[in-house]
Amino acid sequence: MDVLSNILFGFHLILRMENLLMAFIGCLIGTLVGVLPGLGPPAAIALLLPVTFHLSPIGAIILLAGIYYGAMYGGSTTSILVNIPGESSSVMTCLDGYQMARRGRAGPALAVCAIGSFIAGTLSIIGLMVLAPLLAKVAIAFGPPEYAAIMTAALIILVYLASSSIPKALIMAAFGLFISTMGLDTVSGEIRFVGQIEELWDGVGLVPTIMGLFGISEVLINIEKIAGKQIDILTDKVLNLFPTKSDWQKFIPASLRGTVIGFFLGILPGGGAALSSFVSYAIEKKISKYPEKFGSGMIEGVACPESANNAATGGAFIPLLTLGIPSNVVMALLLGALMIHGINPGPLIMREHPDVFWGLIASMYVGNIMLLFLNLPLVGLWVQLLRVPYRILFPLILLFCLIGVYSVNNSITDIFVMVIFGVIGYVARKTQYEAAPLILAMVIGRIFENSLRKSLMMSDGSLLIFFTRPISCSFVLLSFILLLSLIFFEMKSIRGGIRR
Amino acid sequence: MNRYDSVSSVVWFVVGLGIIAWSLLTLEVGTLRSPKGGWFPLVSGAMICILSMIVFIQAQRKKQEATGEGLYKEGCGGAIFGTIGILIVYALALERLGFVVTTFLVMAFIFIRIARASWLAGVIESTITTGICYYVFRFLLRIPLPKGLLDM
Repeated sequence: MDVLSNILFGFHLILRMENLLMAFIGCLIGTLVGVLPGLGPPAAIALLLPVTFHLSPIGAIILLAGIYYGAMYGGSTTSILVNIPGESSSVMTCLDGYQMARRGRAGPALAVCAIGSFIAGTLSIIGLMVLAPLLAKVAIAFGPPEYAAIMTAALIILVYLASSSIPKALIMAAFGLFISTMGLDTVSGEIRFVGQIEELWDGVGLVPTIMGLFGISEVLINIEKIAGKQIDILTDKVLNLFPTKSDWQKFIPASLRGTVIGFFLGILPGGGAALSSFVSYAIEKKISKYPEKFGSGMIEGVACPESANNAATGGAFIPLLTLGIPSNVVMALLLGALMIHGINPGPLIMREHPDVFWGLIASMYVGNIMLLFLNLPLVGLWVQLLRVPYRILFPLILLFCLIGVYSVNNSITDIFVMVIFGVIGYVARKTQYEAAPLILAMVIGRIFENSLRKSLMMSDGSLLIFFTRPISCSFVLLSFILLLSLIFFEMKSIRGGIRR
Repeated sequence: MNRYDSVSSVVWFVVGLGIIAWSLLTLEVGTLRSPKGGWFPLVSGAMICILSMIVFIQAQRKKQEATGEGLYKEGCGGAIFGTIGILIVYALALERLGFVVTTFLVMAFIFIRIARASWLAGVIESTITTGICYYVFRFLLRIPLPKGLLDM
């Protein structure tokens, strides 16, 4: 009953004209970002962050969240029609989606993506609505040792799921932790590592860092990749959008399986949409009666990963809203956006800011319906956007990054920070160091350091404090187990050259 | 031996050592009972050093990759360094020359030199881009932009 009245309150908020407009703009920009390769949701959200300063907190979060789940929808269009995933989470959709398009079934493939995404999005919101209040009740009892233990586990899980080398992912996480210490130490009042650069006394900005690591480095990589490449768009094959009866029978169960997998993987730090779509595709193939046909245009191969990546967006909100811990880069940005508006996500958010929590949930329902109408009837328009040559697109992306970063604090220093991280991001990608652990470590670094220092002060320097409290003990043990298995895999890899 | 991993691990080792030295020299580290401002960065630096050694050892055992591809694709070096350079120029010139002049010049450079547009197309594209961006950010989004030379 409580949940019902709260969600009605959320709908009451979202149905106000200004909030509906924000949800629509968010979905529109998200779809655009998803369709166009070269500008992912993190860079787009970072770019629009300064614009949200003028909005209400609820309007800001609705807009930014809309970009995130809108991009998940939009990413599938390029995968199916061009065989270029707009987002990393749409990579698996290329396998069967593009094959369907080549066989003249682009219409049903696009429709299945949109319908599957809608089902997954809606179900994951219900999951978020049910699970988040329960977790928040437990989280109220958390103290510094619990937070320190959870963040340790979060970082290790993130590294565990890293697709490249584990030591490399850990190096990036450790470097992110170091960057988070730059600026004023809130405990001792010391200025650390930034000397007389006053603009950095509040720390290295998240927006310039993300714009650099994801926006600028993406442009630099794409300048190499796309230069001179002709894109083949299968526009003439977008006919008969509606799936057949047999399609429905095949894709609905696949979509539901993808939803469940995606939702729970979305909760995990570092899990996110990309991993969800990979895992769900692998499982779908494994349980299929015709695994050998996957990759040749199976409708289940489109429905499952697309549903999973959309369900993951709902799951990812759970640790952010209940613990204040972001599980991926986009959530880290949303955390930053909420904090700029004076809202600290955590177990008390539902009590202190019910409008933000329930308004966001209601906006996701409405957003999913908007996306259905934006994606299906307007698919032709989105496809035309792909014809914009990259030589026109990338100068615009660069300019948006420059203006976006400058406008946050009117600071030239932020532009330099962005360029430095752009170069770091480019070299890191070339040498296979992942940027995500750096960003997440940077975001949780300050809270992690403070929790760790407070815990040690509470226990008079004894590390046993983490083992005497049940919740922190469980997370520390989980971290140990994961760490040991990581070491085991690495030892095996060093000895026998076995790839994880 | 993997060349990239070997070189990057050495770079990271130096970065880690730098962080450790910087923490010890400029900050108070404290003890476990009372950790001070330098404690956490010191631990981060130590972690980077240890992990970079692991990457180095792994790199020595890996077989040399056959591709031999450089850090950037052949023929793209000019575009990559040009883009990085022009972003730095933008930062240096923005408050001196103002948004309109800097954006026009930088966009013209990117369109003509990096995106390989003709002079005329480059000038037209950068004029349109600057005009639209100025209007959207200055008037629609009301973001204050540096005025500079033209006092706009």
